[in-house]
Amino acid sequence: MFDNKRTVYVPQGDELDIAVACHRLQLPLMLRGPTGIGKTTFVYYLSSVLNKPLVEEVCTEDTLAADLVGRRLPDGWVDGSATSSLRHKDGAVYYLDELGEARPNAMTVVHSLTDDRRTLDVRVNGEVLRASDDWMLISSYNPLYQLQNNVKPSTAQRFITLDIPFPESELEERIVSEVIKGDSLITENVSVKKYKNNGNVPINKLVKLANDYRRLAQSAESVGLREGPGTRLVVRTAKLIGYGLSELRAIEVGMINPLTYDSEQKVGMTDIARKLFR
Amino acid sequence: MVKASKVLPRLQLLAESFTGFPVRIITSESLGKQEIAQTDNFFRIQVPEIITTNDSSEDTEIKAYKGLTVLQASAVSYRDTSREVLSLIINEQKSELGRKKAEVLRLSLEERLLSSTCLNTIELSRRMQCIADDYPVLSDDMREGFSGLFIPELADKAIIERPAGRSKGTTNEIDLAIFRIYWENMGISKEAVDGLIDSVPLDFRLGSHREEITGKLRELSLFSRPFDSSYDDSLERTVIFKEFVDRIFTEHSMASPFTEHPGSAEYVKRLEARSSKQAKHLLSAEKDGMAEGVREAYESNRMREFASMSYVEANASSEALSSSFKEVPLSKAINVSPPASLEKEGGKVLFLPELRGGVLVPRAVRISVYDLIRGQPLSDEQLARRIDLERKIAELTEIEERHDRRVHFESCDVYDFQEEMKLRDSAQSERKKIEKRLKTSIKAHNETSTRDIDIDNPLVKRIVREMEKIKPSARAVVRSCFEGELDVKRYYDWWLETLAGGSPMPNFYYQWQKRKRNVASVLLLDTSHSTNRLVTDEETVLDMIKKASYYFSVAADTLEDKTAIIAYNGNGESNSRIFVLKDFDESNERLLRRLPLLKSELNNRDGSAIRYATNYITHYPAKTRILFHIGDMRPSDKQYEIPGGTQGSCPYEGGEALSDVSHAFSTARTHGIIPYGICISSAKKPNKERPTKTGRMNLAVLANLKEKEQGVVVNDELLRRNFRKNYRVISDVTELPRVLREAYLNVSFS
Repeated sequence: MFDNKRTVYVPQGDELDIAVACHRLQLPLMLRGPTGIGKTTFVYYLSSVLNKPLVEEVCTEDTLAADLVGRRLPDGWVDGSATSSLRHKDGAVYYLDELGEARPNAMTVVHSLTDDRRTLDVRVNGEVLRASDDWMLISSYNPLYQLQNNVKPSTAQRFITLDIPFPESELEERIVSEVIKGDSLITENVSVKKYKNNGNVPINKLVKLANDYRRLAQSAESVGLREGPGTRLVVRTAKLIGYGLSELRAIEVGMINPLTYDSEQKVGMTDIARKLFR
Repeated sequence: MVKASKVLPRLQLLAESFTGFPVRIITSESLGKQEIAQTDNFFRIQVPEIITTNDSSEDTEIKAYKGLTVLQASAVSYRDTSREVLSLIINEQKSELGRKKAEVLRLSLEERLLSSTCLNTIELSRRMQCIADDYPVLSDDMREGFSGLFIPELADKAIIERPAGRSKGTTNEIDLAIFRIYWENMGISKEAVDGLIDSVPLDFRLGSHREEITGKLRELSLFSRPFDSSYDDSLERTVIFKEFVDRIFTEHSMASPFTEHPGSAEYVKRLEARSSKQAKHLLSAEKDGMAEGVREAYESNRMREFASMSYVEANASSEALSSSFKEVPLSKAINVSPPASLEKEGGKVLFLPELRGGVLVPRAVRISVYDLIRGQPLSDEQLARRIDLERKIAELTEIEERHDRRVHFESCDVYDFQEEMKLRDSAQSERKKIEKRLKTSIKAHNETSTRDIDIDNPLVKRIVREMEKIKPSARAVVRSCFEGELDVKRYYDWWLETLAGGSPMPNFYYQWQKRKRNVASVLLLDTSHSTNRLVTDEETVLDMIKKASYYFSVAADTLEDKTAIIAYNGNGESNSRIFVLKDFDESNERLLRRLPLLKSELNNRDGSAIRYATNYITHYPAKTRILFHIGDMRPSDKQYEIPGGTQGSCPYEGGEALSDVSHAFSTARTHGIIPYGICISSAKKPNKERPTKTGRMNLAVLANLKEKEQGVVVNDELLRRNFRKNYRVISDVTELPRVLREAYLNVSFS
């Protein structure tokens, strides 16, 4: 179980706010960034903020669907990590670490958990597990060195995606000094922002933007954008805007990041979003 | 100041979101270069190389770039009429309006007169209104960017300057009207433009029609429903404006500036030339017309150059032909010392056998292996020059030391001492001078021998994506194992069978096993002088081969296959050169550093190069090993002496050379290597002209004659037998990447 006293986490931006927003809106979250940036620490910290147990699965090449769902052995049924996290009645934080390392096909079993169904069909055991309202799925991967073993676009498009960059030097100094002290949890500056709900979501603009991206993907011959955003992404972005996130930030984490990790493309796609949003 | 190269990728995405198909953005500086030719299948957009705005803030400059791009890209989304449709209108000319439209078009497309400027102004205004309705935020950004481009001082000059031949006090009111509406549409405040234009005196001949003309144009450039309009509407409105202006001018019994006013065309041209560069590009929405004009001129220029070049080449090859029959004694051919700089620069020398007259002669060919980054082979003159300079330096150093010793000698008297000092210093300064010369000569050599290649980055991305798709998944299920994951179905089978009294094997587990490609390949490139042939305006066969080899390496990398790339050329059996461009374990970055340094020169001794490549790949542990040979498949090199010394010498050419190549390939095959030949045939299209009386020297005919004379017949059959099925002939080198891809996938996946 997670030990509050020994974890130091200093947020770099609004990642905690967005993570909490995802938890409230019941959306799965993906953390991307270089290695050693604090992705895992962040998840540990988040589980303490939300006060939910953390169930972790570190994915490797040998991770199988059965490891997540569970398997029937001669002496009975054994839960996998996903099933065991779902059995927490009050919800849990289910963390798939290094998603890119796993074989892409193994991960499709959790697809039903990432959309609005939020269920897991464990047919082998004859049951359908439904996630409680407080259950949350987080995954992380490092696109830089996992290029060869890429996350499938169909999986990537299911997550609100946060890019965590290297911290600025001032912040990094602070992190290092805090870690050396190592005995206290940093709570200052860490407050979950109280967003004002936005009842006026610009739905027509969002749909127009999605169509622009799809048009861009048509011409992907020359840029390498794999596909346009699906309606699910548009819905989720609208939800985030409705929750109170700024429009451009919501579009970034909800639509642009799930589609690409190429920084050049991200700038270009933000430009396109700026056609309609400030 | 923002450079275009910085923002191009962003702009491209932005433009594609408007058009929905691939876009190429061309900077104004690259106009007319080969880039244009490469963008035939793309929607072309043109932006200036550098943009500087009034406030010189980067943000405004990027916004201006965005604006320029969007204005052009929006031609597609807001129903621009294509050039074909325009020509259709011209051809039809049925209705009165059609005739007028055609007239305006003729003026705008061919002569770029005032009407084209007017048409552009109205059309740009239409697009700006569409964008403002569709993407309000973007429209605001664009206006902000454009207002940064509005430099009052420049425009001021352009307007106050009056065309030659006109008396003081006359201004072209049409120009002023267009100028005003144009910049107003671009988002410049009315006051700023007013302040500028009001300082220009009225044209006394026209009287006070300024407001009227401007008002008319403003009215015409405003579209009540921009989304329902099209390029045709702009055209129509231009016609209306033209008629309106014609009427006013006729009333004052003056010639209309639209039709019979040569001064007007001149004036517009001057206006364009004098106003800022950005304004010029905004005005030229008819970018294609201009680009084509430039291209034509450029092409004709290149054709002339090419013609003279091929003449020189023909001369050179006839010389080479005649000289290759001269006799060279064996001693001279073999006993040349290795290139002076080779050992020093990390290269190595080795000897390989060769088949001569049916006999395999060991250690017949001396091969020098170069790593191009560390050192390149020098031409004879360069080498002589360098050796000369180095010798001089050595001499001077010696003199310097000698005098220095004397200076420090104790019994030396004062006069001698001063004399010696003088001599020493003069030798020292001389040596330093020569050293400097040597340094600059080395630097100049390195610089001149570099030839940049331009890699098509979008294509690289596409290749990577395709290869990712076809890469076999890394693992496969193996069932019926004795340990591993439980295979439930098999377990129940086993269980039922034990219940029934049987004793089946407990192999009810399954495992995931790695399935990995284990392919290594060597790409052997012929870089003899024949690859110096131009394919496009700028690029030679070798450039194409270089690019193809890079794409090949990228693709193989993505498939996790191992590739080495080796190039070769040479000059006789004692100076056969091998350039290792990429080792199996080296990255593509190193390949990219070496490729520009590779030159096409000298001859090709294919047999020894193939033997070298065979040795190279034989020692690499892989299941499937492939040797790709890309070249013209016509080995030719200087002669060698037939062993025994009785029969004289024989050139490495024709059937004799081919049998050596054949032997080299069969050796490769015995090592388990799959050879694959891609022949870039230089066969030109048959000349349809009738032969002239004097006739023209045809190199191919000459070569055929020579082969006949030597009694050997070279045909494809021999080569086909060599490679079995794995042989392709291509006449168009631009197809090389595609052919190479097919070949590689066929061979490595079969």
